[in-house]
Amino acid sequence: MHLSKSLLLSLLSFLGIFYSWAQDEVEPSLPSPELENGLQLEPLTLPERNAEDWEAMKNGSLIPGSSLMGRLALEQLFSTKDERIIFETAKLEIIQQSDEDESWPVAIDDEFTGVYFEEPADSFVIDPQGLLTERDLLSQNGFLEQHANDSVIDLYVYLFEGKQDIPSKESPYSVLRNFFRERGDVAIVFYHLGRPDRTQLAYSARIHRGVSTEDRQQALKLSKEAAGEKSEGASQLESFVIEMSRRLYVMEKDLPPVGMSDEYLQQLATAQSEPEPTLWERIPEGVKTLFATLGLTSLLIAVGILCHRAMEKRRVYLFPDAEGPSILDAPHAAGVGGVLSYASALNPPSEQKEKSGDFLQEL
Amino acid sequence: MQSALTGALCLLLLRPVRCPRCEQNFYQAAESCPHCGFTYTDAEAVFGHEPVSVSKLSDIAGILRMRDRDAVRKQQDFFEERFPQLFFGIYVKALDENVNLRQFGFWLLNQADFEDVDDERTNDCGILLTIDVTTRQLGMTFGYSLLPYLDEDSSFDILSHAHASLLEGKWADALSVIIQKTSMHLKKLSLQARKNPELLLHESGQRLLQLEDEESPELIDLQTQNAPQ
Repeated sequence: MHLSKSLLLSLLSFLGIFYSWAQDEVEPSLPSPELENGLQLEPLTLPERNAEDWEAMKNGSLIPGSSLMGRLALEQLFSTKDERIIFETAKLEIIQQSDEDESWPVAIDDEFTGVYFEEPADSFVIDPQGLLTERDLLSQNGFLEQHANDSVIDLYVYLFEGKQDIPSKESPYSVLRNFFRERGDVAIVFYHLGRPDRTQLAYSARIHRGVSTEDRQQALKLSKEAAGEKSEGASQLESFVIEMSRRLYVMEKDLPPVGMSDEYLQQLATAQSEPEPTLWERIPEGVKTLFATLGLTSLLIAVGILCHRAMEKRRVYLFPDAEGPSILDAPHAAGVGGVLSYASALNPPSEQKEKSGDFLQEL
Repeated sequence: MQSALTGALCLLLLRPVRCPRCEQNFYQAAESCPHCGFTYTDAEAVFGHEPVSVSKLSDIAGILRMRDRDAVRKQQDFFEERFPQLFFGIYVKALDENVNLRQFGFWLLNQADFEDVDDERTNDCGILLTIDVTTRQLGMTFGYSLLPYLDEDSSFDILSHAHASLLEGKWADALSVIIQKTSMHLKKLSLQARKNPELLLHESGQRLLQLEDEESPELIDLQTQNAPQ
């Protein structure tokens, strides 16, 4: 721990002046009757100073409270050299041990568990143990009401003490399932005052479907970090709620349009998880039958055509045997057919046909 | 008087034949052309009396490449499979300029001995496509058995389908088209002959042989269930 010398000197001077004033002016007050009746208090003893100390303090050689710093730190404080002040480790451990040894309640009283886990919430901040001051509670509730008016995702905060344990059967999800099923889109937070790192969070089903896991986890993480920037429990809660509210606004954009029923969303989720129907599955049954009939008919026709072609290829053609007189005294053939000239494209077959047979050609 | 009228009517029903020399039509059964007196003997006098041995694809002019020749031979073989009685010969030569293609074809089909055609297919059942690369002409000649099914008009129409390919020098395509069109034409007439063979034969002055053969009337059935595959 490093502190500046001027700050320490100022602090010790103030403590010395206060000590002297208290010694001279303040008288020990009597305990009140209420305290006397309710609590057994130890007698309050104030430090005593002798004349030597008084003189030493006057001439500046004694600084009240300096014994808390340890010898080495004190020497460094009055040293003319500009060196760091290092407190004794043993004294720091005393302070830390005192923090750790502080005992916190770990169980929630039975009188509060009913309010937390067996009744529907009647406000946005559920604090049956009175962990927040009335002012802070009103402030947080007011903020969350305003958030609920502006956002479709309501935020409910269940407040617990920092070290309180949530019963194993209970969780934000069980509360959500039992009391918030009909309340639309909500986020349920189990917040431990002073320990934002222990926060638990549950979202309703539509948020789960619409917002990615990464975004949901990021919202909680950022809210915890925002709370961690503050030191006081109520301020931490305020920062947490503000950041969470902001994240819920962002999540709201990813949600499906408002007004869609849960059944439709369920169908949508089912449709997204199931493979998309093929074009054939979308076609009505009547059309399918028609297609099937046409397909079968076409197949039969195609098969018929193929068979016909195959038969045609194998089919042979015969002519009846005939006899007749010879022509031009030729032994085998007298059939003189057409003659086509391909000498010129300008002399097409149609023209050649018209001209043929109109002239006598001698050898 | 009645027999004279019947004879005249029969002549009108007969399909005319074209003389290879004068190219005039005359009715069949004439031993010589009534217009110019042309006979086969005249053709022999011009082109020779000796038999000529040729293959059914004779490319004397050398216009076909090896690959084209194979393709054309396949077409010829396929033709023979479909028409087991017939064959399709092709003869390509650069003839002298004064040679009449009709007469040459007429003479060649009568005189040729097609060495790669089986003996059952006589020249009576042959179709000969003659190509003269000198005059750039091609003509078709056919035997007596095909007289009822081919004539000048039908053969000219068949040749006309190959005109474009011939102009471009695509010989294989041209010959393939000619064989295919001839097959289609004969296939159609084969079916007609199955229904009414006498009418077709009568138009060509021929008569049905099977009708006189009482023992095998089913031979006239053109359906070829037992024909080679």
